Amino acid sequence: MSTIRAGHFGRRIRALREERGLSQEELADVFGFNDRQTVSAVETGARRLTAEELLLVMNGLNVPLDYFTDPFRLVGEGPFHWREDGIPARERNDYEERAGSWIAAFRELSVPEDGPRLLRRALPLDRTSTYEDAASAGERFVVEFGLGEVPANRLAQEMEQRLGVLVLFVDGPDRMSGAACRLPEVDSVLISRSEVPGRRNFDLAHELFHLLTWDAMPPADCSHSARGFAARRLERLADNFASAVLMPRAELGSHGSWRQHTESALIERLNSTADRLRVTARALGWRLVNMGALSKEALLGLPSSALQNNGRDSSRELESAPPPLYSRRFVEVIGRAIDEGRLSALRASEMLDRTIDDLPDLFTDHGITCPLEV
Amino acid sequence: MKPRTPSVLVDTHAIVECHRTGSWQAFSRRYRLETVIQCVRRICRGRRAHRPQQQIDRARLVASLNAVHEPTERELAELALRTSGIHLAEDEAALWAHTLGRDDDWVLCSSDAAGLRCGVRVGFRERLASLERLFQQGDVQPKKTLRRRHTEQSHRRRLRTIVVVDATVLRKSA
Repeated sequence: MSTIRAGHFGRRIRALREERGLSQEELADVFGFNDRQTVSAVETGARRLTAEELLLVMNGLNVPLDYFTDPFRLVGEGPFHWREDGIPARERNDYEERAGSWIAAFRELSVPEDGPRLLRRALPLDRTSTYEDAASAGERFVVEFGLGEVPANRLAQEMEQRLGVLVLFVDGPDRMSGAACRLPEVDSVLISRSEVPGRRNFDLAHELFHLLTWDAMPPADCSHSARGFAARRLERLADNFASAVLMPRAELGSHGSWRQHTESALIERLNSTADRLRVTARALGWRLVNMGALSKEALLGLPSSALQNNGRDSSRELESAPPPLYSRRFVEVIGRAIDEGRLSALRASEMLDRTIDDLPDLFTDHGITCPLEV
Repeated sequence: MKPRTPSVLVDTHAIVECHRTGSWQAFSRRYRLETVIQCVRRICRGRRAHRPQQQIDRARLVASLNAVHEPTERELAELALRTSGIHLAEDEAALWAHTLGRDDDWVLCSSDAAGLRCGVRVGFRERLASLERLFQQGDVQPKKTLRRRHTEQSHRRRLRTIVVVDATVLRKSA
């Protein structure tokens, strides 16, 4: 009698059972098992499931086969943290399902079969930490990871290579700027391509904070409607960390005081420094205020339009083109899987929401040889 | 009357490529072509897998096929367990699942590496055929050049690689 690799199916069965509010005894009835211990063994992967038993639970609980067989979906796992502003719940759930499929596919197609990572990095911060603690952690992060004078230039790369974080640049719903997702095997960050570069970098550093503090301080949703005091405080800790990572004290103090400027000179300096550090001038202003290098009154006294788009007329002038969709690492994994016959081109095109004939462009955008013979 | 040759199971790619190259009519007259309903649905629905967005009439397509099958749940579950680690689209999986229940003479025309690997995994390596080879054997003349992935050379090259890679994977997991 044929059997199915147990761990994956066991997790799905347990997730479904819990979702339906069933006890193991009740599920044992569905299977036709004598006792709940057998169900427990199935769920933990200690006992292999047969094809016949799989059909029993499908029909007994009225779920389609792919609920169990599709590893490209996150079921009962992978909590997301969203940075968004009032996206309707249904739209967000739909997008989360799509994003979950990319992350699950990456996990399935790239992670070695010997299980989750042995070690996971974390910041030494918790709910008693102050905003200054978070900023200090950001400063140390820059030094320890060698991010250099313009940390934004290397942040995504270091997150991927040294922390194993999957960084994806996406075209998400309006009003979504970023998200983080945590799985035992891989952490992921999604950043909206439509944001201006400075905002994208800030979101990246902000989500990094959440990934590095998830155990100690699990993030709540960041939509305005869901915020309580604790959630707002956590978001401010993340902002302080992100500011310090992208705008290290040493860089900001290296060219003299920020206090003794005329208004026009201050505006010019904020915009040019923000351009150099690849942040927004507004974020830079608040970083300087928090450091005590600039007064709050001086910043708030500036015309807000003067700092918008770092002094440019439009955001389109900030960069010639947004980053390519997803990431090179992600596309490499997909390409290798197609080439090795582990992933069909049709399945890849469905997951990435493009036709097979448009798939080659995805590889070209990342400078990768296309695995499809076109 | 069609000559007595094995039934030819065609996937979405093969059907679309035949229509693109203006060879479907000749191909369907030469062979007993069969597919699964999931392939028909994908080809004929609004959201397409391929471009250009050539309209393929569903009724005409079905009429030109010898049979349109639908695999059972048992066949789909069986395929899932036997092809662990190979990720196909729904219509591709349905076509291969259907083969598990057949005991007649047939060949399957697929150009996708994962589809070929699926065929090798379930023991049907000898039943895999490229569109180009079927055209040549059946004297079907396409009006446009076949895309490279449908050629016999591409088919053989990928099959050689897949057989080696899949055998290695199965040895490691044993």
